[in-house]
Amino acid sequence: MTVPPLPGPPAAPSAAAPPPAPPRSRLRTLGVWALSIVLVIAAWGLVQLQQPDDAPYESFVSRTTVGEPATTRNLAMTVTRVRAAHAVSDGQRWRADGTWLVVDFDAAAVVDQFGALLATSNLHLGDRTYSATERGESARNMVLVTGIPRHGSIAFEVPPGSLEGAATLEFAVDYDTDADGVIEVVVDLDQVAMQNEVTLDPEGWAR
Amino acid sequence: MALPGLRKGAARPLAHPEYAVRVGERDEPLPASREEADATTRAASEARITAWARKMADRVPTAWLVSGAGAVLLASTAAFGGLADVPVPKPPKLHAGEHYVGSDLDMSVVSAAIGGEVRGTGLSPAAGQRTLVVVLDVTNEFSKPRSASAKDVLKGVTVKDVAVQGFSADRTVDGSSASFLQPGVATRVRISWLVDADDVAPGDEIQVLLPDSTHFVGELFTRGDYWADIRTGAYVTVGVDELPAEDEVTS
Repeated sequence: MTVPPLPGPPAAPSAAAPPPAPPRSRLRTLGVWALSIVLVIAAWGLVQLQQPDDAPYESFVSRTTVGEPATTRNLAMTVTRVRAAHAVSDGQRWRADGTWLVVDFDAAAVVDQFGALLATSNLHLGDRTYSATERGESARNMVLVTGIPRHGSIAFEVPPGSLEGAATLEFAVDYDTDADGVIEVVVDLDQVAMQNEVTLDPEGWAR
Repeated sequence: MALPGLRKGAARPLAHPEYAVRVGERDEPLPASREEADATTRAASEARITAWARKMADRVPTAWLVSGAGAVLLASTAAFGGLADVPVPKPPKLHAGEHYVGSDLDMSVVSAAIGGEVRGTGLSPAAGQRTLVVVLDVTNEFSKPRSASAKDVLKGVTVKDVAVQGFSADRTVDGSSASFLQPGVATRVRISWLVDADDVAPGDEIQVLLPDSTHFVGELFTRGDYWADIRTGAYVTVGVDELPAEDEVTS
């Protein structure tokens, strides 16, 4: 069944009659469509601008490198040395074979030493996250003192052969780093020589 | 309320429409008439389209479609086993040394032993109790450290038909407490429990149950990774040895 064509454009008005009003309905349709498209594009733009859902929980990151100090809300620290070894000992009773990354650092609290611990000390390597080992005597969960840096070492046990490429160390004064300051230290593990055995620095005042 | 009477001059305006047009307005163009004509044409064509669409819609055999969809649904249900429960895969039965991957862990039972008070476990058996020790190799296959004492990790390891009490997990290599399992790091762990001396004796075979679970990522109200729906993933049959005397507390 054929559909009759829509009526064509109006015939030229007679000379006697003034020109008819412009086809207002079409203009209006066009306007509505244009406005709708503009609104859709604007909505898309808003979605692009919008932060992800977890944005309110994101940490405030101070990024630094080995040997350079960094400060965040209640933590000031400098990673002084990074070592890698096939075995690690704490200089006392504990010794363990494996693949180890040992990190020496000076750390202090900034504003408040009440409950200030180096609670978060993580290693991000590839798509994996390692936490500082709880084995042996190390500066994991070290007590921080306001303004007076303490020195210590922590060790990360990683799978054999994985100490290569870029890694990031993450430090914070709380287990929960949501919306709090975090110090990130970028380490190029290709520059870190593999030793046979290293000893953790004893915990003490930084020099 | 009185009916409002027709006021003089307002009477029957429609009966004599020519009187409604004031003199002089006749000369005005009548654009309304052409718009009216356009509107009439459009309305007519729209009516024709509607009628056509309705006729076409009437030709669709709705009843047949509904019955057909129902039949297809029933047939596919029957093809996949009807309304019977989906068979739950049975946990595999393994032996010592065989690996089982579940709960994002790679686990392999090495040995089992029973003794008195075992050095380094922190468990002190009461009278009539002994310490059951299971040694297993475990590797965390997840990308973040896992707490060993979680129900989906080493605390999920149990022994079939043996009531256990207490829990201790230590690394065999240095006796340190296995608090966290780092990703990809193979660890030999000793799990110790207190058991009734009558339940397990040297030379027995026990079935160690390894856990399986499902990993979830918190959304909306929860955050972070968690493992839920913890179930038995594998039965591992292992013989129980007598624990060497040097591992026991002698004092």
